[in-house]
Amino acid sequence: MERVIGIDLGTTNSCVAVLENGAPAVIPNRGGYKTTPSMVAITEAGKKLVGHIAKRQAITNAENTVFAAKRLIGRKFSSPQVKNAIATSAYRIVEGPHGDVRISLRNKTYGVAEISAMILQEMKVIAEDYLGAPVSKAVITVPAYFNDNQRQATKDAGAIAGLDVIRIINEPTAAALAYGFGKDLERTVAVYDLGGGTFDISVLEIGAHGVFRVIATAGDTFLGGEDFDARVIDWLVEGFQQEHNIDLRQDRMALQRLKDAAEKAKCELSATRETEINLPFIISSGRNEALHLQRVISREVLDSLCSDLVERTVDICRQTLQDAQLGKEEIEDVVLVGGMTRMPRIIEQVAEFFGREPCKGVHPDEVVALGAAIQGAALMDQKTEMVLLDVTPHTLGIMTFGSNFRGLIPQNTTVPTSRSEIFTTSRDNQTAVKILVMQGEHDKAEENELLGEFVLTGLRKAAKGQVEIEVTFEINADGIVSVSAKDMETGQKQAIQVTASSGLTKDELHNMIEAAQGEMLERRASEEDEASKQEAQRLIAEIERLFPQVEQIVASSDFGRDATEKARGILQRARDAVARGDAAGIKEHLEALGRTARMFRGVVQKTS
Amino acid sequence: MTIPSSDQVPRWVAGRDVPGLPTGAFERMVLDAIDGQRSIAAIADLVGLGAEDVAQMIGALTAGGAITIDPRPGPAPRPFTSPTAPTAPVTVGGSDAFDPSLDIAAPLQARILELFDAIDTLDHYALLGVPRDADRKAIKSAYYGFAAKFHTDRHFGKNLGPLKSKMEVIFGRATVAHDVLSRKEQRAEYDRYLSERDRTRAYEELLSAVDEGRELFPTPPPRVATPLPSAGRLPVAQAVQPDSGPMKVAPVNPARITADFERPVERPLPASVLDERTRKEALARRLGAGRQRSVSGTTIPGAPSLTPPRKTSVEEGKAAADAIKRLYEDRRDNARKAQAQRMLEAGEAALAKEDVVGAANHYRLAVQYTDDPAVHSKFKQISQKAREVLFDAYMKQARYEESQAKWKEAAASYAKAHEAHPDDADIAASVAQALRKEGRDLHRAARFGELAVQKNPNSSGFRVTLGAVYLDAGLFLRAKTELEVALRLSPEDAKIKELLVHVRKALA
Repeated sequence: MERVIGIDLGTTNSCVAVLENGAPAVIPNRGGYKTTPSMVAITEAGKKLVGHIAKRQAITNAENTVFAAKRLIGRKFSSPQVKNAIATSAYRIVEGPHGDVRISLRNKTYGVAEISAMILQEMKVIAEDYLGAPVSKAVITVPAYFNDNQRQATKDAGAIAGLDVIRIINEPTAAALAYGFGKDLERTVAVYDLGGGTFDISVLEIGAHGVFRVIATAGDTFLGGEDFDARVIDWLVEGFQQEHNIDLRQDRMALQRLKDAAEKAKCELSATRETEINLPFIISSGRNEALHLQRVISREVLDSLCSDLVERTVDICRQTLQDAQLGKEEIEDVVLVGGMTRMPRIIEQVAEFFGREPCKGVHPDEVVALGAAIQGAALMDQKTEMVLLDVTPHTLGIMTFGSNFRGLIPQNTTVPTSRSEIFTTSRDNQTAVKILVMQGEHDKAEENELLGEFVLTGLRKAAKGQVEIEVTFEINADGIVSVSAKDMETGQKQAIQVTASSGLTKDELHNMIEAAQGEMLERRASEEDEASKQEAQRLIAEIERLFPQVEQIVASSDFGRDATEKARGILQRARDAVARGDAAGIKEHLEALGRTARMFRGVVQKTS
Repeated sequence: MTIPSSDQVPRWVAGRDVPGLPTGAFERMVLDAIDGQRSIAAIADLVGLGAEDVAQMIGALTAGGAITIDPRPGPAPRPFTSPTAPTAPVTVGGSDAFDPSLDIAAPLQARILELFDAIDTLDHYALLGVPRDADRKAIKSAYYGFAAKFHTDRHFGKNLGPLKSKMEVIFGRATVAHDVLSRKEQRAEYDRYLSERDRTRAYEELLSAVDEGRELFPTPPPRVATPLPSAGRLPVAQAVQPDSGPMKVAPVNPARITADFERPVERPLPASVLDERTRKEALARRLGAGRQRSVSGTTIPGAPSLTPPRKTSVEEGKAAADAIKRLYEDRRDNARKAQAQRMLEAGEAALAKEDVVGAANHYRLAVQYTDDPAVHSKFKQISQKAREVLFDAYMKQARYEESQAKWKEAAASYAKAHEAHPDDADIAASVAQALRKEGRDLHRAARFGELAVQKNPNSSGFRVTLGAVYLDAGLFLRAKTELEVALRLSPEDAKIKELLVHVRKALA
């Protein structure tokens, strides 16, 4: 049966896992690391870099290195979060043709989904190399608080990467799956997930029959490790400004170095009480004099810089429990997910809020990918007794008169579900009504996310409020939303399947998928070329090493001299092909090289 | 010719030819409606005739031999359910039969279809398959079991065909059931609704029994010298009045009352199990052994085999039997008096608690045991009151259902209220309105609408309701007539004008 991989597409790091012999396992990348930085860069030569190699060159190529693309995915260019990102990012964020977000790298614009696709493709390759077989199906995780547009954009990214995304699941839910899978537990668990870019809190009940039921979920899609880093950067920049009266933000390279240093210091402070930030030659003063940045930061300073951020997460936890009508005492375990939960201050605050020490059994960086792999396996193979009952993270509804928002399916409703409500016309002699399908928690429609719209026509002309229209919302287990509107008198009905918009049109998506496929083929081909080249070089070296010995052994016979002459010719042609970088030529000579090497080995073995 | 009662179900006799039957226009309509599931009342509703007429007709048709009447309807009829939706046992078949092309096992397919068809009639407890007093844990466990079976993810990537959306509906309902039942306040509110509904059902059964003169709890015929109340009777009294402990009043445990009313109808009386002689002998032995108190009824059938009969002479036996019979009759009379007294006290107690259901129940039992005219007249009085309470309950229920947009249920409740007050035009109009909203049986809606107009021809509101029904049914001419009269009655009403414009347009 085909394997399904689970991918945790994180803001700063991504991770891929698969279920092997009934147990989920993380797949290490080529460098042996279990997580891969979610970074993409384009080099001066136009080469695409993903992961660790992209991260390593980020300082020298800051403007063409994308980090934290997840913060932009599925968002509108006009949203405050994007404005915020523009101010803090070294790479160029531009407006797309549909009010969406695009990223400009080396004079080429990419959709955010395209950038994410490069990371997903990397994860796919890591899995394929490990499994030794092509992989086409994946479960990808997203923050629980992602709206449908962000989820759709993530799905699109999967499609561009050549993956059939069989399900998008929420990160904290995935973490809970990994936490409870195969353990036959019955308990209520809170998952506190503070990652690089987003914060989520989910409360789940793990019960009999392998059921994982999400009770409530909430979060903030713009609150994460990056914000903690930003606080440290601000602190460093301000200190530098006071000392030298120079704004380090003006220099993109300096900013990138500051970013790295801030993140590193933050991580170190999880283990030590204080650490030194040392950035020599950070900038040059106006008088041609190099300036250095050197400061000591203590855990207390970091805590005070970020105390309001931590407080915000606790407030969201409090609100979530309240909405779910759950008492803290009903939470039987707390699972910490995301790199940020290594911060001692956060562990303390969470322990204090829930009144219990968080569970230590899960790896915060890997648990989400493991859960995704579990869900993938459970969907494909129904012998795995597990079923996930997820909820809608946001209220779904329509816009009503006065651009008010009327929710039909409240947040935290278990899916699949359907709800109906009867609405009336708002104007006299109104013959058509436009149904705007929205998602969000605000009473004002414009504050919420628009998912789709359609028009119901042919209404009876009547005074306002006289014509009754029944609107029905349906969400299936795949999270697909269908909305229908029915004129109660004429029975006239209109329905749409709401396809959330990732900001890309069908054509754009199609082109991106094709382009990515082409690149993938190229990449696979070039990898193959590289492999043959290495093989050729290895054989050439071996033959060269054995040559004098063989020459001596066979010198006595004509046949032998003939053979060594031939070998010399093959060697020469192969060397030339390698030197030219002629992939086809190398492949052509591989067999001859192999034969020669075998013969040489044979000769040497027989006579020694 | 025997005339069947309206709750009986006529069905076709296999192999009989239809042409042999009388085939007038009405007969044909009735014949078409016979499907082996619809009761006579349901058929009457379908073809728009009175139930008596249909019963008469079917009685005549059975003489032809092509139709047979089931001795009694299969399951006890649920009085609450609307007659338009006959409560025949859920059938799996027809167009929805097992589809071998789907990747889903036959038994599960059957279960899904069964649940889907019954989904509107199952209450939250029944859907999850838990008792009404199930605790949160049991409810959760039932729901999880349900999810493990019916969640579409358990069949991911499989060809589920039309079953997929059905499973989603079923699972959605189970989720609602779980969510309601696991929240204290919501469950309490739902239980109140259910108990109100059960109460009306119980009442309905009681009153219809009284109306039809059916003896739910027959007094033992004097000739049958059954020494002990048989299993068919006593448990009823016991259930209503436990030997110990405080009185159970209806609202406390509504399910119990319902069950007590329904059970006796179905349960066969074991009177003929033993011949009289064996019984007398058994009785003699038992009384002789001084075991008068062991009135547990259920031990009778087993008794003879437990103790082998003793040989006695004929005279000896006869004299002993007569003496025992007298003794028994005295005892029985005393027991009946005591029973009546206890029932009356229980009835009074229930009345004091304003539990008319409980009171009527006890009085009904009391009149079985006494000839006291005062008790009988009090019973009539309480029954009347019960009818009023029932009426109120139905109205309350109807309004709740209306507020929940459960039009089918609202229509049924209003229709019941209408039965209690057939002259109330408002209620008739409410039935019409609810039926119109339900939109399934506009003919019936029209009948109620017409009735309301007939009772009060000068109400423009009733005429608008009727007009709207006609409009929905596509009877534009009739709609026009009604709406024009309505407009004459209230010339200023904008809504009527709007509707008329619409009607005229439709006509043009």
